[in-house]
Amino acid sequence: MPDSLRTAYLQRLERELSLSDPDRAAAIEEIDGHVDDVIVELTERGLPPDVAERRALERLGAPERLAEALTAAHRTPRDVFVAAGVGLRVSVSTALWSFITVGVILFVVGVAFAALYVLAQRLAPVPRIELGADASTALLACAVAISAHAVGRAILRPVAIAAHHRPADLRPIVLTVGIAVTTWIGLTLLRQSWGISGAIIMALLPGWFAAGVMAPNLVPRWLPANRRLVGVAALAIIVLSVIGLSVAGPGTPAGEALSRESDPATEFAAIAPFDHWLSAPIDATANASSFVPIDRGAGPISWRETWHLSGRDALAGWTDLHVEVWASSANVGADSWVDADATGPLVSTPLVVRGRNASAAVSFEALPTHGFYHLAVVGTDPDGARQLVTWPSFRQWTWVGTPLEFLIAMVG
Amino acid sequence: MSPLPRAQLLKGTTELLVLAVLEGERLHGYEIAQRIRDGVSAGVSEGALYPALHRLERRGALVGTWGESEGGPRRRYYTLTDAGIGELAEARAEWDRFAAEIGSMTHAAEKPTRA
Repeated sequence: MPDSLRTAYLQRLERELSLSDPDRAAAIEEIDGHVDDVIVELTERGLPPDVAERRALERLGAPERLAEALTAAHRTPRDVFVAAGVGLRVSVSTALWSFITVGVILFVVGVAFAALYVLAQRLAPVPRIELGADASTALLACAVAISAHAVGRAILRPVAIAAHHRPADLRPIVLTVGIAVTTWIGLTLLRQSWGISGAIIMALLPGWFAAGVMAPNLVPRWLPANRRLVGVAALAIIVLSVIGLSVAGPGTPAGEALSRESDPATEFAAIAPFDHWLSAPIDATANASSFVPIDRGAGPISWRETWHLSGRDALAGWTDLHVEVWASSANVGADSWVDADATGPLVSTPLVVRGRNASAAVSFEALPTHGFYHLAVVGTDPDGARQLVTWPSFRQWTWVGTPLEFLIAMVG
Repeated sequence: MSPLPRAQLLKGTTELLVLAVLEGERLHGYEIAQRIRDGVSAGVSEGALYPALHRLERRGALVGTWGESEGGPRRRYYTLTDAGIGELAEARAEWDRFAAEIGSMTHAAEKPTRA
């Protein structure tokens, strides 16, 4: 390979040149032409071609020194401002692009994961694992962290080219500024509500950025070597996801109506809503929440709730205070009310009042046809009238139907 | 060994030499290096020549254009611009003053010492 020495030299030179693509290509072509001319001169003087090539390269000096000198020749005072602008542009565009891309990928992976999760829950006797809000915040934190890493990977070379400095020379400055910015972003975002895993990922935001700057080729080096393995794994996940998305829950096909011996809607409506909601003894709206795991797994639903009273004597004179759980009329949160087919509360448990707190723990077996339940506090007021003390809060404990139907309902 | 290594003396004069060689000429890098080597026995470091060419071009003293070479791939040819011609004149004058001052200092040792 007669050109191997020259090729290696030119590759090292190209790698170290912090010039724009056209300028770098022109410089390499110019130096290559010069080496050609010197080799011709030296071979005409009787030197063997390989020796002539080595001498020609030696006359140019080390490629790193030549690259540094050529780069410096293009440097101007305004490069600092240009580099700052390039850094800002690259950071914003890379962060946005990677966040959107990662968001889409995580959504797709999340759907696949949910499908696999349901598949495991419904087809295998797996202990109950509930997908909580922490999972979604962790995924969001992952997207932010990957974006910070992507910015770290992308920023150094364009900034170095704009500044006409070697990337290694600018690395400390880029790291310092980047870590300061990502620390500020991380601290700002941490003010939001994150689960513990999401909070840890967010707290490490400067680290993700720094890792991108220090080891920009980490992922590309790993991926090509394992391309076949990644492909097989992706195919398996897709196949299992399709199965998981269409697998039905054990209660789904049932759909039989429950007893109609009573009219629960009328019964529930007969409980008079508290007359003065603006001064209700329990601020029920603060407790109204929705919890939407795709499948809760086997076993009874256990639920402990604490309400805050509007005053220490808010429930003075009240008797027969209970928390009741009612099945819902709908499988999603919007416009749901107590199921008209329900014969009564699924469970009724006494409300324990201590100071300004009122709490109760309920446990009940989920209905095979219902995944959505209402929770309400009822009691008898000092005048002897049965009252609905809170608006019914609502929670979804499981999804009755396939995950695909669940996703369609959520999007709808 | 000479007490005044020429390579060291030539440092800082590369741009002047390049401008001088290109006066009225259109040459590529290798030819410029050859001309300097023909005129100055120490020549200039080829590793310093191309940075100097790029520096002068960025400054507007030279203009570089790609052109075909004799029987080979294309080369980048340089010519002086009007600014380069003016810069050459100033650099020449400065060099002359500098050489005169150095000359007067070094020849002062040949003057007869006072009694």
